[in-house]
Amino acid sequence: MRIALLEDNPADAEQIRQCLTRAGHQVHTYGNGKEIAAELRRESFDLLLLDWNTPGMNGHQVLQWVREQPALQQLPVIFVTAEDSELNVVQALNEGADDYLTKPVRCAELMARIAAVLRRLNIATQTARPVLEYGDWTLDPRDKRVHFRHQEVVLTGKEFDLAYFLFSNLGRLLSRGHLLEAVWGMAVTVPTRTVDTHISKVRTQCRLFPENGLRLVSVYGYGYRLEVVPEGNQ
Amino acid sequence: MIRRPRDPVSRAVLGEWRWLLAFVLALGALLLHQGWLARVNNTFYDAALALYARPLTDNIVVIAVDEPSLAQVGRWPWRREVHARLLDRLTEAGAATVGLDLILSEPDTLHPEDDAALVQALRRNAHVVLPVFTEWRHGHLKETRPLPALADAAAFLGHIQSDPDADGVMRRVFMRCGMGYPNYPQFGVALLQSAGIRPPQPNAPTRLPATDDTDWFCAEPYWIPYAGKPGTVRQFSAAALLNGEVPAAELQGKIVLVGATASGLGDAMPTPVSGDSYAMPGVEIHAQLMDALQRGLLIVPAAPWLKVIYTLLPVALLLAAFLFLLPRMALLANTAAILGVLSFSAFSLRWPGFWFPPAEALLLLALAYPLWSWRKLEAGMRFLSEEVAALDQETSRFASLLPVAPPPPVSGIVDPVSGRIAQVRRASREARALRALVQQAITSQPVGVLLLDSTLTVRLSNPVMLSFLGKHDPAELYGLPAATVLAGWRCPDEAGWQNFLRALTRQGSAQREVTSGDGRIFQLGLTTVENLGWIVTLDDVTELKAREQERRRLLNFLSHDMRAPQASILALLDQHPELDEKTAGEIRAYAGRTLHLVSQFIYLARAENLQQEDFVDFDLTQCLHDAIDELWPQAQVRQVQLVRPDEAPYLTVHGDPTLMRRALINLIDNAIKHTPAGKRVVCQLELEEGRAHLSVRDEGEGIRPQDQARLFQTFSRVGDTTKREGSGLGLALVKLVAERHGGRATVQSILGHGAVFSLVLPLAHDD
Repeated sequence: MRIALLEDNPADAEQIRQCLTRAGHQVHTYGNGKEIAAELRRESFDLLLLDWNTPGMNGHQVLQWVREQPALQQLPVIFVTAEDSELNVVQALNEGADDYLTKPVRCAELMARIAAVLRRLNIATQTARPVLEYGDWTLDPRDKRVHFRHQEVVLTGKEFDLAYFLFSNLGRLLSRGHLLEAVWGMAVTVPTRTVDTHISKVRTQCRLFPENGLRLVSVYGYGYRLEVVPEGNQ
Repeated sequence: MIRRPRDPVSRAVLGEWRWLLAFVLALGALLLHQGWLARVNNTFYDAALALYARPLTDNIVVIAVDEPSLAQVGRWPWRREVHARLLDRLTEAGAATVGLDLILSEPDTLHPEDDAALVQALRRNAHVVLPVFTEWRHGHLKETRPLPALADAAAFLGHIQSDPDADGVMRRVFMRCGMGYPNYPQFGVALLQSAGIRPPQPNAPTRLPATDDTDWFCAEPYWIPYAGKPGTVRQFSAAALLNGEVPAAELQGKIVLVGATASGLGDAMPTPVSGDSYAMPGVEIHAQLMDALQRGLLIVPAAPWLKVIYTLLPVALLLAAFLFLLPRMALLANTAAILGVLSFSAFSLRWPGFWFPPAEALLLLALAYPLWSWRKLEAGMRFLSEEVAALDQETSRFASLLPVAPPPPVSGIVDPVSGRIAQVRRASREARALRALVQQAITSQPVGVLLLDSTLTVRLSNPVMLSFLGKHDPAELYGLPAATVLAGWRCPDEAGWQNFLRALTRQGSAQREVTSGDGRIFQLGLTTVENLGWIVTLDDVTELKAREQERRRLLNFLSHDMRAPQASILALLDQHPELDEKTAGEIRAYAGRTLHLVSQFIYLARAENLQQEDFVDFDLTQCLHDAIDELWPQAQVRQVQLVRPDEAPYLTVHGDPTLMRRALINLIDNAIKHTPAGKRVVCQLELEEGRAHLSVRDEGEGIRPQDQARLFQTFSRVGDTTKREGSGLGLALVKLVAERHGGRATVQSILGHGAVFSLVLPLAHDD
């Protein structure tokens, strides 16, 4: 896979490059925002990794520019920041980034993000929903039942739909609006808080906790990600 | 009928009015039913009758058995031979008819020839009317006719039954009476018949009930419209007649009544017109009755239902008028109503001859005004008392701020009304002082203040506001719409100031940032003043904003420029596996600690500058799970069992979820670090008394009491400092975040038995 990386710090750039190259990807590194923008006009890439603070154009400006280009609108963007502030993260996500990473970057985390983002592109609208099985969980859309370690989990219809959607988008960051549309449909106007209450129920009822191998990450003010806890950490 | 008034005073007065109306109507009904005022009504009747005195027709003459006659003929009763002679005189003179109002029921046993002589005289005259009277026999009223021979010789018999009212006054007679059936006409009526005059039928023919013939029975009452006082009738002394001193012309063709008038003799009775001087002899009553019948006069008492209307309607109308009239006009109306009722009663007695007894109506009217005034005054005073009490309550809190009022004037007697008015004056003086105080308080505010009425028009402004708006005189703003006043400023809403302010007012109270024409930044606050309007405040926050900007830049600098090199160090270590494992590990640990320290410091700075307006609602339970998830790997490494709350409720907290999560991470992290391998850290979350109680319990070594207080202080480390990995910022952040969310953080610990850290947090208002 062809990946464009914007990173002005050589140490960080090298670390990411090594990590991706080991996984068999081709990485093109740029230290300047203007440079990468010029390259994006000429070359095509499968994925864009953006650092936040870069000379020329910063990552934020590059992201804005990318989303304004009709040809680049489908290009997946993950962005990398040294800041620990969710305010900036949410801003970037709202402007069209698909996911984010905080420095120091861990290789396994980076690979999981990339996998989830790319899976999005492959998931066509599936008409028939298959039975999902992951680890100790089994989700059967036919009778809308969830089993955790062969015990039935009591969920309402909407809660099941939400759980099913999270499981089918494992590792992917989903905004509240996205969840709302997917589970409740476009026509219905429900407060976004409804998503939070349902998430809360699904999380505790289905025991989506690291001790069971799955973790539900909340990005405050944006949305949720159901992700697999790396083996080493479990 | 009457709309329910809005203000409480009018409502109270209307309430009193309804009670008064009900009371007066009930009293009227009671009076009418019980007839307590019958005598008073009789007095009015008599007085009204006296107004209509008239001369008597000249075809009625009375031959009076008076004192001179007794002196000449001898004491009463006279021998019937004398009556015979009298009658003969009248016959000779050509009287049309003669009524002998004499008692002739017993035969004269001493002079039987006298009875025969009288019979002869009656026969000679042939137009004599004799009376039938009544006597009580064996408990029954029985008729007593003249001797049969006399009765046969009489042309007509007429009853002289008198029926005085309770006060003994003779106001009416019955037109017909008799045993079992009213056969006999009244004596006067009989005389008119005998004279060939058909008296008009005063009453409608009465349908008579079937009665037994053992009792005396009367029908067709007739109220006598008396012509005048006793003596109004033309009369001659019986003695004069016997002596031939009465000219025949005076008697010819006349209706002549013969009867006793001397005091103590006859059947004299008090009448409405006789006043308190003396009674009217029976003959004269008959004479006045005949006069009225000939003239067709009639008095009909009002039917009961008419009496009810007549009694209750005037007072009801008057009370209705009271609601709209000033006290003076009300008094005039009351007087007019009394006079009106009186004159109506008096006039209707003559034209058309109806009798309305006025006493009940007059009494009610006389009571109406004093009662109404009393009740209204009571209601007013009560309201004043309440108002004064309410005012006092309001002003008492500010009493120490108000100018000292002069002591009330000391006087011997203060009537309650004046006293109440004095209280009101004092209270209103205090209210004025309070208003001045409030105005002063608004004027001296360090922020700009506009008081807007419900149409968003400026009613009050303070000097600071004037200076913000570039004005000098409050009059320049007064009466202007707020939108006009702010026209030169940049409105945050494209729809314009008017719509912007309207939208704010709908929120009740709101804060917005606005920019003045010259680019300064202001905090605009809008607060609802109940039932009045709104207060708009403007606070110049330009400098504050600039400082905040500066601080934010500094934080950004720290956040990025201090973390980035550390991240790079870690990245470099990853790329060089050839480095000495021990050295690389130490470098990694130091870089990691610096990163952690920067993070904690940034979080602390963020918590210090937490803005209420950035707060959102979030679920504390999820926040706790997030924190536990975050620390799960670390707990695994240390072999500490991290226990989640089971079935924790959805607890909405208003605040900053990122900071809260960080605080919880710090709390749990702290607990994990102090718990030996194989032990537990238990997290619990409960709802107690409307607040969220979150606790983290570890099974570590515990904390000494003297250290517990310092635990939450910045840069404080407890116990063996060399052993600790913490920065001393972690628990300080916990405390700060708890406080910024309106809650508190506490610790309980017994040395050797672990510690429990607790957060108590208020829940978000559910709206």
